[in-house]
Amino acid sequence: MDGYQGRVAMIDLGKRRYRDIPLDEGLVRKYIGGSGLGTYFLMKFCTPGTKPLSPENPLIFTTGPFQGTGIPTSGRHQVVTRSPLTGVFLESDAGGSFGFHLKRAGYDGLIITGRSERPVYLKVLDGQIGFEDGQDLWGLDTMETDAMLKSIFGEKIGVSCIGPAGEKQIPLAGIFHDGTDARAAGRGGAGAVMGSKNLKAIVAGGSSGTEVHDREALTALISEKNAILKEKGAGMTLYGTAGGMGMAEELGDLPIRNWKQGSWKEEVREITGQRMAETILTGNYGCVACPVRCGRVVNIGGGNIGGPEYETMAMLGSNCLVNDLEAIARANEQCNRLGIDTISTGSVIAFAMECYEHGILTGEQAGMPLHWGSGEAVNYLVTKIGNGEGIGGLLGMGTRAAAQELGRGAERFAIHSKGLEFPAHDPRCFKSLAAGYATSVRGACHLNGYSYAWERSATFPEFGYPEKQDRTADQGKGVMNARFQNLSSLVDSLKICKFILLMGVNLSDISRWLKCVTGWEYSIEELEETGERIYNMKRIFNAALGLDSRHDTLPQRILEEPRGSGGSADTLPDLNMQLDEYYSYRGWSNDGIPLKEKLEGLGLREFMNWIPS
Amino acid sequence: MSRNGVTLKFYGPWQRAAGVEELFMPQDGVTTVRCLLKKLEARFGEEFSSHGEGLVCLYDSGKGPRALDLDEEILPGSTILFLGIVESG
Repeated sequence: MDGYQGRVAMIDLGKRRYRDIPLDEGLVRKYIGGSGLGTYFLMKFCTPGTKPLSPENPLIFTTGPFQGTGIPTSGRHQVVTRSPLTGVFLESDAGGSFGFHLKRAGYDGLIITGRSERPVYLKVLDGQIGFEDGQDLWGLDTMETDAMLKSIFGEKIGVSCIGPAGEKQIPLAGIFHDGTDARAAGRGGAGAVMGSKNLKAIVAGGSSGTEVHDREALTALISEKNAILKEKGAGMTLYGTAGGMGMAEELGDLPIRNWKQGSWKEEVREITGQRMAETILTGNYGCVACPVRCGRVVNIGGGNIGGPEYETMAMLGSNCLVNDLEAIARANEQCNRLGIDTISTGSVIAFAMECYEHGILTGEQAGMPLHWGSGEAVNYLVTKIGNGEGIGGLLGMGTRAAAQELGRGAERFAIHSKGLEFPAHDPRCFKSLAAGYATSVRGACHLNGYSYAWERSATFPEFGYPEKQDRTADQGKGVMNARFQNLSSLVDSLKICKFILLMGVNLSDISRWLKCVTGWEYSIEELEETGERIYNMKRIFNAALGLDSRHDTLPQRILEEPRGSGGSADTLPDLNMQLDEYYSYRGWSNDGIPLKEKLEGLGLREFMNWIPS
Repeated sequence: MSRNGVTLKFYGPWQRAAGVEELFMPQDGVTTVRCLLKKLEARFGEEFSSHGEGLVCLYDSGKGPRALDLDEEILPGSTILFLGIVESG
């Protein structure tokens, strides 16, 4: 089967054994890989009663059919599980090189269950899987772990690992890759799931190439598209995603002071990608097969290391009123070393600062004053959260749980949806993000649908969006969200980077690539339907956990408090209007539950028993 | 024999303002971004410059992009990218 290794490994850490599960063509044509295949296996090996940190919760790593083919940005992989932070469906993806090495090892994916009695790491090399003693790695940070494993196995491997936060099962813990370059499956606590299994790391590598149906045609297509991507992605090459900080501030998109403040015009200039290029930047980093290379490499004393991206700069910076670039870069490094998500960490720190401002949290409780703008306080809290010490024990549970614990009105400062902290884009600026965050299957996520990109600058004529969309309008955003969520699910299943959709890659390109790699024909409509099938499957998972339209909501601050100044000073999203349109277009009930006819039409009959009666 | 000049490539809002993806601008000697913008404003209207976000790059397919200051010299034969928004996370 071209494009695939044709198998995933089912690994039981408790019994220290594994078996291969062959992939048949019908299955992968339906679910593709990455997000789709990962969700399918989650539903096969998990029940609604499976607790996130129980041995039974599957931790699933998947690659896609483009991995190993050279298709631009195809070096990504997906992690799927049930989240200990939100309690619901979780998928988290990462770039870097681990997915490439996993496929070279001869597997399209790994399904990991059970719990090892002692710390362990997995060796997935050339089709063989081994269980190795991980005691010497336990306690090391992610970069030390990567370095130690590469000193044993050489540089031609990929390492996926957790840091001390994952070991301690802190709900903000992610899974990290590529050592100092720190490519993270950061969101939702997948690192805590890995830690709950006593699994410190996975080493993958080998020499199994990816068979391609028509290599000559594919090489020509790749060459043509890479040239375009290098040009269109030049801004990202130069300044990384943080190059968008100034524009985000100007539009009223940037989170400032825990989403309370509208503008920060002068201060933001100190923490942009452009400023980074003038000061601490020493190079850039590219994931496997990426011609753009948007990753930052910086030196803040102590050698070259991965630098902050837009999300990190905003959440640990402007959202905490910190405009000290080096302080943010240090906090970013600490998050990466300890293995925690920079987005949720920045969010919970801003939450703590606002609680401190209002006397809900004292300096004595926190261990130091938590003044707005204090880079010292941010770095202090990062260390506490990542190590689960002191106030970090509370904040590491995430904003929702921390607010419930603190009480006294703290909940109004907790900016999350379904328990996942907001990423750094504001639904009061890009209205589509209202329904987008509210309905996102893993909780607030800008990449679940990526709709705001088409309200900001991009167009997608082939998908019916030939003009930039009006970011201030609510009408049409329900439909737009549903369609772009479908598209994102497709892209997350193919495992390519969404950025290339902004740089001239369209569904016709994807269809041609799929034909060249697998030999299979997909029309544009079939591609969209595949994404819709996968998205509905994720929604079914959450429905079985008791989630419905009541959970598709946003914090009061976002729905009722205008930013007050800046580029989105006085606008608020009409979430209810967007949701009505969204459910109707989706073919779901008014309660937000997929209807049986819809599921039958999408070929999801086998999961109908997950739907609550 | 190729003519002397610079190749301009427009993206995002620049492209919408110019109405073309690419333009060859004859140029015997060195020029600057500031001079190019003046010529483009004369051709496409005074509002042309306000359509972009100010990221103008010298591009070499081998060396990659380099951001240009307004008054930096540009040699004939160069390719200049007028980029739209630098996409953020």
